[in-house]
Amino acid sequence: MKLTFRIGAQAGAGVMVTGRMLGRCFTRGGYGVLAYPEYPSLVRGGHNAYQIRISDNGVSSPLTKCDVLLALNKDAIFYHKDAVVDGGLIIYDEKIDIKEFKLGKKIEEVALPIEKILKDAGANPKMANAVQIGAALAAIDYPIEIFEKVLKDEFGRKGEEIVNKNIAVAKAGYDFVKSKAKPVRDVKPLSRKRRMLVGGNEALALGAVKAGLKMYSAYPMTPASSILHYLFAKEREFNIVVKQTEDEIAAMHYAIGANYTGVRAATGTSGGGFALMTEAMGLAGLSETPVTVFLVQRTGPSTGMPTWTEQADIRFALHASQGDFLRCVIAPGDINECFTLSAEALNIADKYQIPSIVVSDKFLSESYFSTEGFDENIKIDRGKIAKDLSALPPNTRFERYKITKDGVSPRPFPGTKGGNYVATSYEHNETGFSSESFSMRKAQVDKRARKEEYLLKEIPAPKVYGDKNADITIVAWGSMKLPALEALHRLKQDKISANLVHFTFLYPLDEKKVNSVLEKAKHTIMIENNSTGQFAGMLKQYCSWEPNFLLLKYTGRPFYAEEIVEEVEKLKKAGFKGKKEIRVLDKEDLEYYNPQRYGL
Amino acid sequence: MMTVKITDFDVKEKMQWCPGCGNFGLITAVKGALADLGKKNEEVVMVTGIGCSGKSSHYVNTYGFESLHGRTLPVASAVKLANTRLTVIAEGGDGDGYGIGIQHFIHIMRRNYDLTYLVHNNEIYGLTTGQASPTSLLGMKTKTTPWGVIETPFNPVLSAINGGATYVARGFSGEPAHLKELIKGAIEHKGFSLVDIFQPCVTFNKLNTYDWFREKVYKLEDEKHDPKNKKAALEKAEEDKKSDYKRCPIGLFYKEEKATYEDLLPQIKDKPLVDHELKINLKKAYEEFM
Repeated sequence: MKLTFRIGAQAGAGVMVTGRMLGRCFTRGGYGVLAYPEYPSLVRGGHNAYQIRISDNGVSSPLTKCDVLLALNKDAIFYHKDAVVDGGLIIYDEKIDIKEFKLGKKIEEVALPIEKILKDAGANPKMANAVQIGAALAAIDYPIEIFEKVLKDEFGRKGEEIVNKNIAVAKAGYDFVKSKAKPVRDVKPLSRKRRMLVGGNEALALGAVKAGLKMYSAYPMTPASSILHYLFAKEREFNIVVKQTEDEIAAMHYAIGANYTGVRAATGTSGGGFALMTEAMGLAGLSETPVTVFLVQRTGPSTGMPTWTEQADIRFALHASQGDFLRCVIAPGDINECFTLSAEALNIADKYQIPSIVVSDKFLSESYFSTEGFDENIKIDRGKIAKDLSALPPNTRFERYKITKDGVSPRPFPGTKGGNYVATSYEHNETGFSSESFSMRKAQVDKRARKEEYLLKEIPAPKVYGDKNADITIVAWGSMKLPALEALHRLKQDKISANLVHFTFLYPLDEKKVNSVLEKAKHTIMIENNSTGQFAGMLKQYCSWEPNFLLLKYTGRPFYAEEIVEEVEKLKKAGFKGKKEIRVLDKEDLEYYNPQRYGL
Repeated sequence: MMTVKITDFDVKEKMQWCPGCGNFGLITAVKGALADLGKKNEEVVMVTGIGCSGKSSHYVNTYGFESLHGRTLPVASAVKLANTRLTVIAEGGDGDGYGIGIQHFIHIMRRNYDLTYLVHNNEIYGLTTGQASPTSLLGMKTKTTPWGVIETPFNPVLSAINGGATYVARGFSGEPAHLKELIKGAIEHKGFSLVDIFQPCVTFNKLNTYDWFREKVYKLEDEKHDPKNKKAALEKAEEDKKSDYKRCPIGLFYKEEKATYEDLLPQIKDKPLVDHELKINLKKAYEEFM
């Protein structure tokens, strides 16, 4: 069973809350859920849309089509009417003049009297969300009682009256749709454990906290802000310190200062903020101070399209700051990897005393995903900490930057007797004192570089999903795992043999490990959410590997599974001949920023 | 208690500043203040930026962090938040703190962290060999102002009193004993303290020399200035300019008792963040996603 809802409304109408609550009704029924929001960089005035996909097995990609459309204003009909499949249903606010639009003949429609329902119940306009969710559930004959429980949990602290009114209008919406249309599908809760519905950014935050994050400093920037919001909301429960700083320069220096002092600290931002953090990347590199950055990509360069997705910042993550130094770049591909790899990034930063960058993107970070639970066995590894030191001879310092075999030297936390040293942005000798000696310079550069060999040992090979001997191999990194997996599922139905090779560890890359996986592939199609194939370039540079085809999409949306399937099938039909680079454009070319241009 | 000697804070490396540099008097005052207060080497963190002042963290034998140009304050802030037991001293120059890093200066004052900020204010860029700084006086000729400065000099003392700093002082490295007392007061003060320090650059600033300062400085306490009187403090902060640089007060301009940022965080009330247990049960947090 797979089913897709779309909700469309003007910006500011509360679509995000509606989408999440509707999603929760299904995770409570044991379903897999993906809730994917789309909105312009406006607080009011543009169009917002939410896709809620549910499935009894996996679900991971937004789709171009939907089964049920909830249209809360005229714009929503205009934007989404063509997405509704035959046999689908449109539930719209009765105030919309639907006659203006040409709808498919096999699509049913119900005009929902939202205002009347609210008025009859003496409810306030904010409760329209509940009416819509009630109506949506009726469309698939899903028990309204589950939603009643969600409302109780969500609004319980606001008092019984609010809860009861919400329930009353939800039921009225439910009953109304039931009386007007027959359900498009019959969906019942599954007899299995309820799941969590978690946002990608929340999972990053939770993974870090589980790994001992004690301080988070950041400056607000879409689409990374919800890490900051979530950690602030839980600051006292988690017993951590969260700091909104004056800018990203400060945010990064706070994270470095805190790590130097001995607490696990991280910062997070998007590309523009990371540009401001660049100088401090080098500071962490040279002073060998662990630090973790969550880099949540959006459509760039510059301000770009702030609320849309892209995967075009990994070269930036890889090269940010002057000079040569090691860093680790990690890109989780799904909600559970957000949790575990966020924790892993903190461990890697501490163990190797380097910056680690967790690369996510708007699609992964601001969507909500179901999960059965997170890994509870996260290990905390602080690396080499110098403790219980003997007293230093007078007027001398601890050898914090001692030349070691694995390049990592024990670091004392300030306050440790016998450990005084200076962490520094200058090249230095073993105690941290500035040095421009050629031999010391070379020794320190080599020491820092030696860490790579040890780090590579613990970096896993890319993971293979699906039949190991498949004819076609899709290669993807980070969040593109999600549409790729959905595409595999559909290709299998179409009897096309394909698998996925997915990278989460993007840098450093181990040529042998990577090639041991990729050399088995027959026809390779790499997908990236950018316009230049940044990771394909890295694979060529570091692993001397090139895909046969490079599928690129950089419109602001993630790949939709159907788009991958379509291109793969085309390539197969053409006998895998043709231009190497294929650029994908969304079928519906509609912008949400400016409904006025369509006369809306 | 074992007494702490000023020489405990010496390092064996030679201090490499120009002969006669105001930094020598300044660093002697810092070490003297730490010794007088009985601070142990390991309980102090000196955070510096880049510039001649940046070397200070290397020349005082405590923990240190020589960060980037202008970034002393965010690093120092985090050190304090991470471990409230530490004595945190941030040091930078006028270019570092009042130029490239001024946003951090403005915001740290709103926060009132319990740390001390010492600014080596020589009214010139020294390490980059003599460009105008935000505090260079009007008309002063430098490599970047060959026809004289035409920007109004930044007034750190006035900005600090207005900005919410709770201990605002100015010293002169030509008066190290007096400066030491100001620094001791700053370290002991619970909250954000600024000590702006006249520190002559003998190589690149031929205007604001030791003699220039000696002629003009006088001590606020000699004229019975009351540091609790904000109005009087603001007036004194403008005296340099109003007197056409004939009278430049040094001493404690303003002091106010106020809760620190750290005081307002229940998370670190019982113990510093660095001592927290890292293991955490997230069951309650997960419930909210069900």
